[in-house]
Amino acid sequence: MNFIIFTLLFVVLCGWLDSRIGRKSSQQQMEEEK
Amino acid sequence: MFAGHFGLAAAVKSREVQIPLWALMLSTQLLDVLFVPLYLMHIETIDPIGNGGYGLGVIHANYTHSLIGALVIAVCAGLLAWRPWGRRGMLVIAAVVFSHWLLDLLVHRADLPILPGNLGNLPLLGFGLWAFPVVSIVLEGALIAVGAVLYITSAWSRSGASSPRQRSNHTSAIIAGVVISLLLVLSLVTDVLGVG
Repeated sequence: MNFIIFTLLFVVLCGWLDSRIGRKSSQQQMEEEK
Repeated sequence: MFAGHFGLAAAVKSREVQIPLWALMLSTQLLDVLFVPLYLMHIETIDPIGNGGYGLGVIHANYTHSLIGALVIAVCAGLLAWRPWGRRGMLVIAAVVFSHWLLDLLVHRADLPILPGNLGNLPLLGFGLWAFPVVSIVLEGALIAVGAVLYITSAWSRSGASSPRQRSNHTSAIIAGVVISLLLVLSLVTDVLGVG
């Protein structure tokens, strides 16, 4: 049942990449605070 | 169908930015995810046709993939989504879960029952596009293409368009969007090659 492994792999990878979008780096946050 | 469901999730994400992509992707595959334990318990089965490659099988998923069963699963998933993502999130997740059954209806041979357990031996449903693999692969490819374009466009705008200083955010968003799109294409390749 490779299906479930592939599903979880795609869900985790894509979900993690998507969660990075729009997130500010610590350097950008520091610059904004200044 | 495997990749086409993910394409739909990417398209929905472009419009429903408050719901995480992982939740939408998991929702589109939820019926198949629930199929796995029932398959392992021999409650739901697959009869392979020939070598059992892409689309070559009659799937007896009489509970998870029955019309009423899919609706019940969609409602349950929607209720779970209510708390984290609100009323709209509930409706979107329920619709996305049920979209799996609708897309499967297009490609499955007539093996989708109406009632759970094929109660009453009502006619089985399925338009059978899998009998024409090129057509079903093109359909899945189109879902991925539309999903990828909408997703990348949305990722670009989500990354913050106002400040020139945020150009690096744009680049990261585009890279993430392209990688996600390539993963969607990879999901189709694994399905067609019978790896998944």
